Amino acid sequence: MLAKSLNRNGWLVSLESWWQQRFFRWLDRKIPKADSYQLNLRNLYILPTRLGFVFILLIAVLWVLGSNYQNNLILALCYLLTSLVIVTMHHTHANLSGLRVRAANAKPVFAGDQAFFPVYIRSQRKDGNDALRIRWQHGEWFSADIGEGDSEQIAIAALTSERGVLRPGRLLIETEFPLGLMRCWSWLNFDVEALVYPKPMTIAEPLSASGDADEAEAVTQTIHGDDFYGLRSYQAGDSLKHVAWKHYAKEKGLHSKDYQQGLTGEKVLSWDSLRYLPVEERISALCYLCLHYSQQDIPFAVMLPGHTLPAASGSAHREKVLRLLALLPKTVV
Amino acid sequence: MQVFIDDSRWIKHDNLSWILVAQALAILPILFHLPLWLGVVWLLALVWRVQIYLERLPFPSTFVKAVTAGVIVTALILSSAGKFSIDLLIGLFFSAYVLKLLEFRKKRDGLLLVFLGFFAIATQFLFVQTMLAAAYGFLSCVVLLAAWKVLYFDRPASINTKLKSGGRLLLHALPLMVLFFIIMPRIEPLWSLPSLTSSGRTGFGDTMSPGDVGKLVESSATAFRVEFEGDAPPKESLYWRGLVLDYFDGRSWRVYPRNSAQEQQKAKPILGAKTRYTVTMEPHGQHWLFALTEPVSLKLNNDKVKQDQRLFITSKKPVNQRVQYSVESVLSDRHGQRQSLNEKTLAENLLIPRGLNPKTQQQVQQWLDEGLNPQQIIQRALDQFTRSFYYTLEPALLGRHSIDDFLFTTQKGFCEHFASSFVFMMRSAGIPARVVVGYQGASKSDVQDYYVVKQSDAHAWAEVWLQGIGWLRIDPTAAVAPERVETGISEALSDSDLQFVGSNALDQFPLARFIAQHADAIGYAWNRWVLSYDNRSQQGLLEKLFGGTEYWRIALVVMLASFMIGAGFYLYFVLSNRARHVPQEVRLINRFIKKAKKLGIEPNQGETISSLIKRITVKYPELADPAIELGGLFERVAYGGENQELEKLRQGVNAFPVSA
Repeated sequence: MLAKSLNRNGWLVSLESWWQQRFFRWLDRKIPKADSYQLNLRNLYILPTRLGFVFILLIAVLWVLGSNYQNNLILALCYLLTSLVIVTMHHTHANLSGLRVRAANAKPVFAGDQAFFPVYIRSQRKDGNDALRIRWQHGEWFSADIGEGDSEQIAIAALTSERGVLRPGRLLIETEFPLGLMRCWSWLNFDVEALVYPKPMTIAEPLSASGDADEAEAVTQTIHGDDFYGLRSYQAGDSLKHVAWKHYAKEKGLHSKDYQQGLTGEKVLSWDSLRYLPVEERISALCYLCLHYSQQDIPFAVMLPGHTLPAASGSAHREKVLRLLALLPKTVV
Repeated sequence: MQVFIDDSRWIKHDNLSWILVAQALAILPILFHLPLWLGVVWLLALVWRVQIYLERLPFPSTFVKAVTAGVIVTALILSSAGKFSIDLLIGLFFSAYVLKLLEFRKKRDGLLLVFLGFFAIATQFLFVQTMLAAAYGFLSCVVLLAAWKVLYFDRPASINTKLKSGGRLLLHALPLMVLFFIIMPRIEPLWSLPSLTSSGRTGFGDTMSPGDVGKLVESSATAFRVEFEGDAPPKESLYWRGLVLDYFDGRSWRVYPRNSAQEQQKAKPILGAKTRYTVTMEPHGQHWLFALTEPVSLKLNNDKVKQDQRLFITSKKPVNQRVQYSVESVLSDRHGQRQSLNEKTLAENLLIPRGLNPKTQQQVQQWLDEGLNPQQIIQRALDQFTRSFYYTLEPALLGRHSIDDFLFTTQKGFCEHFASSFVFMMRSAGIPARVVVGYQGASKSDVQDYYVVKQSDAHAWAEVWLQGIGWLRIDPTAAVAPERVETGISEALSDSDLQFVGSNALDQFPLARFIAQHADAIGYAWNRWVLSYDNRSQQGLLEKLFGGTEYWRIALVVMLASFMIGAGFYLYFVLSNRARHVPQEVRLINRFIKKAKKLGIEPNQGETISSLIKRITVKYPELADPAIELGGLFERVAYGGENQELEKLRQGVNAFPVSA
């Protein structure tokens, strides 16, 4: 997830991140974590942008021109533009000042997807607040305009890379309105999180899915029950017997015939049955199986290190299992 | 409303028209001062860019751009005859600015076009500095800002709204600009810059041939304006002395070049009551300045002023901008009393070309033979003019012996003819004499307390040197047409001549005259208070306003002013826009927090409402339900904007117990 911000190479980036870390540490002391903020003089920062500096340079050139020709109108223009920079500073600041911002937890997502955190912004300004740009510390930009007294809910995405609890870091809210000469920003530290499920890794159903290797034969039969249910795309490990060859011959792709599973067989998501996979992959695989069973409404039990759940089905069960998987410690024996 | 940031920095089509219009407005005034073909270059670039927009033409290739730029630069250098002047620089800037249109693809290019637009406005002020030009410049700024804003934050809005938002920014900036303008110190030029080639400026050259002054008189342009401290002297004593022409070649009078050694021998100024006045001089592209005889001190801000033995005042730099200087003069028709002329000066002021104007010389010789003293000779010459001469703007042509022709044949002439022939006669008689040109008279502005001296007040007169008196002013024209000096040129000339005198035809209508007078007064105030505002006027103004120019005073004022402006902005932005009032739900929740305090639950620094409620529920489980409900209500109102829940929140807070 850092790759995007690190794609510029070299020491400048490391200097920048070092600086940002120091800045955040200082900020932590100054502004404690909260779940809502009102933007004001204490948490807003403002500096000229690069464009602003170029503009100031232009003003300096005009000043030299006006001074050399002792031309008061050029000097007046130069002072007008200087005042414009100062006025713009106030406009830019006022565009953020007074906003009330609150963030909430995001819905769980799978690793690699974006977690959308709802951010509520409420304007209390007569003119509304224009051209706001918002992102999480490591996320994509979102922009918003808020009308007078309006309240907006914006889902701000944070990138996820690994399972677990994602704390999106700080929320950067900034604006360069109205002329892009000044940038006013604030780093808000919200106490929000998102549960990140493991990234599902497609895998053939292990023979020991029912928990006992001896019953492998029976299980296979049960899984692929007799009632033809439909076609699904072929996945490695599907029995060749179930491939829809006629379908394949019509060049419609390789599909497996799926059979409605009887509700009789009890499946078990067993940690040990996938012993041959490294830990994270195993978790991803189990995640896949969990989704797989849930999709087909097959009840399944769970046997994970430290956690055992009886067989059940339904979305509540699914969520519980996914949560368990997401929060499994990284170093499981 | 939520959108992903559109990262494409390509210019949108409707933004293009804003930039094109803003650029056109910014460069239009410069166009009048540049070769015509540069305007054609701009139009071609404009048409090309529009064709690109219509997708009928591609962007030009690098080769085409390089060739175009090369051709234009060469043409510019050729047309400036290889001379490095500011016009050449402006031409180069202009062509670069309009050719940039052909590279205008992205937002960044648009910003560059806007920025250079401000530069173009500044360039326009190099040529014209009238109030109208300033107003036009301000309007161009408004359009440029609107274009800039459109480029940066494109919103669907009417043209009017977009213009207004640009204008509003500038209006906010105005008060601060005025403060900056007043208090920022002006600096000396950092380095000398090439000056503008002046075209069509009227004023005296450094020679006077017959007809030169007459030409000037036809112009109604203002030469300078004068503001007297106290009462103005009578009109007939207002001889604005300019050039001293002491070399005659038989036809033209010119300034005799002096070496610097002689410039040092300045005569002691005469004593007497001083007249103080301030002159605001229109640019005439020459070095000389005008003052009433005898100037005893002359202050011109920043520029060195030189005054030589002849009281010929020059500034170091040519007057290419409007300048203002203040003078103290002792009014007198003579100067240099105690001085005796050295031989060289004597010889110079007696020099007449050999073999010319024999008749005149013969007549003067006759006077000498009669044993007349210098005073009597002067009187005789003036009497001669009074007798049969005629003052006109349309003198007859003069031959080789120009003085003879004038004195004995045509007898019709203008001030320069009279001055020239008078000086010639004096020199023939052995009386040192010279021609002085300048302006005579001044007309009072109806509106304000200042006087206007026009080009039509141009005049030429004579100075003779008499032992014991010094240089004495003699105006032969006054002998012919005393009205010229007493009332002004319009009275002195016949009606048929008057048509040549520079004047506004509208002057006859009272209303038009009123408007013209006021326009002149406004223009004068503009010149005096805006264009000529410099360190000296700054000092004067600050002294008047704050009673002194010490640093601590200025610092105090600046601090006070910045504080006032800052406070103004604070009131404007923060109070009016931000928290006009504390939102009701916040007030309610504060009451709730107070109640919690009474329950013994102190809110921690930075603690959130939800955490406070959590602590309440832990300590007082029986209050958990109403507390959680209140928390939910608050969040829904504060962040969900569900204002209909406000009443419920109020009731909930009111009902919340202060003791368990």
